Amino acid sequence: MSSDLALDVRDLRVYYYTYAGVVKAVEGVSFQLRKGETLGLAGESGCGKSTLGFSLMNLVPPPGRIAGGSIFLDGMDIAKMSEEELRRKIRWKKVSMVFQGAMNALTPVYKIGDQLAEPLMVHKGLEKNEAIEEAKKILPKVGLDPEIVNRYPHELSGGMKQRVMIAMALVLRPEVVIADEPTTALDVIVQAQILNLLKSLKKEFNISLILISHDLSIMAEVVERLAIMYAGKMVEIGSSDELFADPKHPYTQGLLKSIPKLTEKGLHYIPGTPPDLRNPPQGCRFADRCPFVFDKCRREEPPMFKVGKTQYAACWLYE
Amino acid sequence: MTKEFTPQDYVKELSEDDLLAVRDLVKYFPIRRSVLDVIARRRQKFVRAVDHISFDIKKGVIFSLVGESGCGKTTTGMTLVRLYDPTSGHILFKVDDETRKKLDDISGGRIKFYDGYVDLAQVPSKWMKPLRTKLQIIFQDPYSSLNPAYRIRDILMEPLVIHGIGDSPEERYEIILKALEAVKLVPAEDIANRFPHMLSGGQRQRVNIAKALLLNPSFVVADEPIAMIDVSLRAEVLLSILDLKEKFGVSVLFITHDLTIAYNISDYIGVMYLGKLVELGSAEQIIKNPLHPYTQALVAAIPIPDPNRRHIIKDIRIKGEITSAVNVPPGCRFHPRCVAFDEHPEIQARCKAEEPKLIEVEKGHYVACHLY
Repeated sequence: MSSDLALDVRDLRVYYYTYAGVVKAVEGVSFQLRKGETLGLAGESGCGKSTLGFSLMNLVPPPGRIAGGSIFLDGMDIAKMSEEELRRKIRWKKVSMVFQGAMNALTPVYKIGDQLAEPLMVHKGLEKNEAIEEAKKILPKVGLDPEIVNRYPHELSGGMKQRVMIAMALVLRPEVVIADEPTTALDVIVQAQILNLLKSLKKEFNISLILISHDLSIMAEVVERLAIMYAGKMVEIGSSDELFADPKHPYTQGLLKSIPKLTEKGLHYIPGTPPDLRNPPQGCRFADRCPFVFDKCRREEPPMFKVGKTQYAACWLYE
Repeated sequence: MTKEFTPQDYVKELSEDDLLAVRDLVKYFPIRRSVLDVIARRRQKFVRAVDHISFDIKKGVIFSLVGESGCGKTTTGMTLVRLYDPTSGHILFKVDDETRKKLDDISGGRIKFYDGYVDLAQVPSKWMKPLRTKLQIIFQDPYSSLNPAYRIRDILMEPLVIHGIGDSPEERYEIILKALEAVKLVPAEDIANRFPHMLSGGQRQRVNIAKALLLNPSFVVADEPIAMIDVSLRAEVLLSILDLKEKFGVSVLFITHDLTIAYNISDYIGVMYLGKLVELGSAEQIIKNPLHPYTQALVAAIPIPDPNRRHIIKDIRIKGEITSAVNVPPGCRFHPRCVAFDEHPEIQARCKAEEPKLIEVEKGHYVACHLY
């Protein structure tokens, strides 16, 4: 593994073992995250993007677990580590996460300072007052007054809570930060402010950032490389310049067309609905909704084909 | 103070194609007082969710209300269809002869009409029933707005039975199938026999649109109907809402926080801030030429799907965050966050003292700001 990679994910499979059957939420996904890069994971609800995010910390909520494949970070395979090792070596120290609905992820009964200090005390062995001092240092970086260490979460607005969550993700200076829909519950103006913040922090802290979102407009504004997921599969990946200019996979094309724009009026959608992941169809999972579908699509699953300088698409059209 | 306007005065100013005219609409929610507050005789406080707003909606148009959460856009929608009783103000709504007759029957002729308009704000709840068919609402969450224990046909049957539409179950079922086809839920027979959990979010939302359509309404409030729908399916729901307007001549009040969607679907846009309308105009005017400093910030914050803008840190000209609607700032409500306020010291005194009125700056384009 070359040294400029922050994460190397190979053939990852994450399944949820429910009573109703095995849900194959992530099925054979491979990608690499370079150091200092911003990678976007986009797709609709249920496509496995959040599950993939959780699995990068090996934190898939039960009944889900990593069923196969590997996630390499500094030569260690996160997918095969024990809980104990993960806690000591990986989570928060190397890989941290800004959770979806982060606004509700803060404990209402502890002060902001106590919550920010906890990872510092656990991982770095700091005393509480030292940890709070450290926490005060990081708050201005996310645009907050250090004095809010004495406040409780309910005293802060949604945007401020989101900033606290980002500070918390950065407090141990991890290499990789995963931001799962960090702006979903926020208003447009606050959303733009948070995106600005992520952009500037990324430079300052030199982190590799994985941004998970369903909103391609947000992706275009932030990420350097973009991966599109559909029904548990990665269907296309490439630099955002290339991918937005010339999407190759029919799903990506449809998705990009579905974003309403200010430049031209028009409403487009992709007919049909995604398949049931308990019993995914044979062949390409997008076949039922694809305008270009042909025989082979329904028989065999397409591998990734190189379709551009940095761009790969899993579609038989490019065989 | 000039003389008190009556509904009759307002009606005189309306044109033939105005379906709904809102005048000085107010909705305050009282905040519960503690025992201590009562003993200390502190004044009753209110959340001023909607605070003296006025606008018209023409027949067969889509009017979008946009703004941040907490600006009062949902409250406005709920009040217009009388799911909330307004605190004060007038909602003049044009009714057809048939509805007028039903209203006369139910009230014994005690509901006043003003040249074919009825003031919804003055109709007591017990007499609202004939109007309910004309006023419909589509809610945000399609996962909780359909009863999971009922089949779609039973869900859609209920409003028909309540309002006595259709003479037999067979006839009602026909009406239901037609409504499902109108929102492109085909094969309608198959959909009608399903339970809500067997449908996707977008399909459920279209069932809700069909439900609104069943009763042949003239005004529909759509409250963030696509906020919970997948990106690739949103347009399908939006197109059904456009059909409401284009095929059925219904006027729609579309509530959203997403200006791109508002631009793509609506004829007119109203921008709300802390219970006030701050700007009003055609979709084109609001998005391409925003005048109010708040609208300008909202438009600047819209994410644009263009990767070339990645390295830009956006300049969003606004300070702080939305204040509470309980302690509303005096004068212009926006002045504590306004960048133009800092840049124009000459008008600061007015901004702090005087609430700006909506004035027409170009044809059909109104803004409430002392800059103009």
